[in-house]
Amino acid sequence: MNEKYLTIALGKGRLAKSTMELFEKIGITCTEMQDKKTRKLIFVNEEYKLRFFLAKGPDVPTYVEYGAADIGVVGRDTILEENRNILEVLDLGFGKCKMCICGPKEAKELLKHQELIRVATKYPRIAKDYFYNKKYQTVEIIKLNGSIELAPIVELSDVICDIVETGSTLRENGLSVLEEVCDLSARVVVNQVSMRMENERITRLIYELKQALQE
Amino acid sequence: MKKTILHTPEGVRDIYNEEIEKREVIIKQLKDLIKTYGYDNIETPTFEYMSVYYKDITLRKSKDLYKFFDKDGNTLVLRPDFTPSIARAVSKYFTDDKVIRLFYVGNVFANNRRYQGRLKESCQFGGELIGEESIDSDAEIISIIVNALKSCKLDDFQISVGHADIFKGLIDIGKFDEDDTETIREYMLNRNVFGLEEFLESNNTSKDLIDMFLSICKMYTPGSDDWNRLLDKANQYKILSKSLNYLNDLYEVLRKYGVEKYISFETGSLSEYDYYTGITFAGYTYKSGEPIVTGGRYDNLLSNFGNKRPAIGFGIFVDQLQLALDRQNILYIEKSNKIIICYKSCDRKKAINEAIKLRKQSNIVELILLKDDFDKAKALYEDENVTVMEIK
Repeated sequence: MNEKYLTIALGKGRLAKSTMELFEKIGITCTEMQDKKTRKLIFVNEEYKLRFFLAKGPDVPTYVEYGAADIGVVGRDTILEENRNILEVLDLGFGKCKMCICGPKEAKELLKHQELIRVATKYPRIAKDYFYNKKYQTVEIIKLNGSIELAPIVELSDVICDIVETGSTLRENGLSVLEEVCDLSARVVVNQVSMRMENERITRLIYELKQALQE
Repeated sequence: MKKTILHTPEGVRDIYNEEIEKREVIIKQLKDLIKTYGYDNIETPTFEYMSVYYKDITLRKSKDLYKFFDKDGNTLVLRPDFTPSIARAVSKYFTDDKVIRLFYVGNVFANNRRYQGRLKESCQFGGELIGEESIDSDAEIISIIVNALKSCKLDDFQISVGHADIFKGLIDIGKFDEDDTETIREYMLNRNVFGLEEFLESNNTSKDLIDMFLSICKMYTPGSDDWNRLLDKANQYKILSKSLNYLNDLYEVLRKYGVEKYISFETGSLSEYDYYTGITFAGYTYKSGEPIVTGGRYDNLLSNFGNKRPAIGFGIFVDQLQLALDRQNILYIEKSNKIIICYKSCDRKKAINEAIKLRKQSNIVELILLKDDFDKAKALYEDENVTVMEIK
């Protein structure tokens, strides 16, 4: 059974770095990955029969859903937005932030009534779910790909739905958090078949990660 | 020619050559196997009235269905699933008290946007055992699945068995309200044991019950020490203990069938639908990211059609199974030999007579009317399984 590799997909960037640090804590290292000049796409740890690869955040749930990766590490925002059929087994606790509805202070009034407003966001599914299913407010969603804060300033939208970490970008642009949608942080996700076929190995790995988090 | 008319819509496709041959082999194996258990074939319509699928039956979201209207304005639906159709047909035609054993094979349709890059029309093979509520019928269905998969030469697979009452039992012990139940359900569906633990702790659930929840969320090898410990621990809770012991008894019957090595218990398993009333199961193998088979006991479904009878069924996702067999390099189709007879129209009679003779001897014979010379045709058609000859 043990000759099979477990494949782990990591969301590129800070998340991958923090995750690898956590893996190092439980004795799993991947020296190949630390070489900044490498053009390799997949990194192998022969000792534990693990393979790692880096992918763009929103692609991680896709790899895991199809079983191309057994395990993935990705932000909860991506998991909610992608809405894939995967198991979200562990909250890693890092990369903590919140999904919020933000806008100029005057816009707070718009959220109290059920009138049609415009919401700019990078996360249309999360925004839609929040307004339709939690607030029962009909909204027009405008999908943007970055600098979401700009939208209310140039009057493209009334409010925005975006990730807030420190809130400094918001403040500098005269915006504030109007409502909180949900808490976000990095999560470990697992393919549903891998969870059954490799239950022992994956459960042990997750347990060890959890132990390392508590130290 | 317009290139656009060559495309098929997203999610549907042509299946041809080797792939269709392999599929036919798989389906033949499955059919041959289930027939030995006394199951008869049934074919239900490709589309039916929406109420067959949607009236509190599956809670399947309406937008996932392919819907259209007939001339009277009724809503029709391309079948997303066979079980409700069979429940309807059985309620209509099989009204005596005999136990009914049926199998089906056909395509099902899911208009699911989430399935990007995934099939919207896929092939399902399944069986239903109606009219008997017993551990014997549960074991029969599971043993059919194991043997059906084995008949396709699959060996590295696992059937995880759970019971719908386990979750109900846990909720009953803790007396959780609707919102908490939903949260717990969410954590359990995601196998997020640590999240579940934190939630239960914040909810002042007793240590004993938290421990019970966490034990339930594991997977078990039947008969193992871990499993026996779980049975002991659950002894104090009535519903829970009853369903766990049921699984234990089921395993004993499965041993008599000799299929126990493929069985594991997944006590924390939950179905997305409230459809099931007894055991539930799903089958998994390597190289397929999704289950290859699912099913369970659904004793209330038939009463929706005015015919209260217990039932259990399973469905094998043939596309997933074939994918796994392919990727595990298991399915090997031997190409059959073929004879091609080339002739010019003046030699038609001779060629046809030769073909008749060869076909009588069970050869596969293809006739090719030559437009130009024989050598060209020979070069075009001949390969290791094809003999090309000319009749003059």
